[in-house]
Amino acid sequence: MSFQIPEPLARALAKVPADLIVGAVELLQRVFTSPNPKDTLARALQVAAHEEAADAAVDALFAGKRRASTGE
Amino acid sequence: MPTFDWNIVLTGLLYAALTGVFNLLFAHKSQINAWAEAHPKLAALMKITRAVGLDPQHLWAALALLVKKRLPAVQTEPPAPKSRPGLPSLLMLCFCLVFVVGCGATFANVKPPCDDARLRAIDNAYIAELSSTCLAKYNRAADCPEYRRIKAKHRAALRNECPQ
Repeated sequence: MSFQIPEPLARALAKVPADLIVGAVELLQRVFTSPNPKDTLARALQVAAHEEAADAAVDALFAGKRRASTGE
Repeated sequence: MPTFDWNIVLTGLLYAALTGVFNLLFAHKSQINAWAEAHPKLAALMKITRAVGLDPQHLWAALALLVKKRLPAVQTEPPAPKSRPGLPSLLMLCFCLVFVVGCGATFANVKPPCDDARLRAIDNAYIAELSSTCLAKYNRAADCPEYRRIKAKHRAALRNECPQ
């Protein structure tokens, strides 16, 4: 008999973006193989926070343009 | 001040949390012998994680012994699909919450290892480049052909400034 992932779990996993899973695994690998895991995780979180903030700023910029072009 | 081997502590906590969540979602099924024998590999995997990880059902049984002086009734069939979460689920959620809050409290006190002002300058350069290249022609950043290249450049610059 072959092993099957339970359907609810498979459905939940299918909704998770592949990039997120790959990124999380890479981060875990870096953290657990680092001589200073706490510092590595803090750096990763700091970089991720900046990426997130920059993306949010870009989204806000384009959203502002869309609003202006539709006259809202 | 005691020192901890963070590799071991974090690995242990992560393992306990993951096996706990796994048990919380699926372990009740392993109590049904017929089901276990129909799915031997999955049931064996569940029994292994129950044996070596956090087990909400056993914690619930222990609490019932302490409070009610008797074991909870044995569940003989799976709960209805949309049943409300019971005390074991809440207990497990509490464990996860303690884990997350503990990690948050640990890292909240850590000074950011990289220069925040330099990282912000990189962010501003990214926003400026994207604005000058894409904002005039496109309504969404993702529609711009240059978006992925500029985003990758930004990510590389951040990682270069703050190597991990």
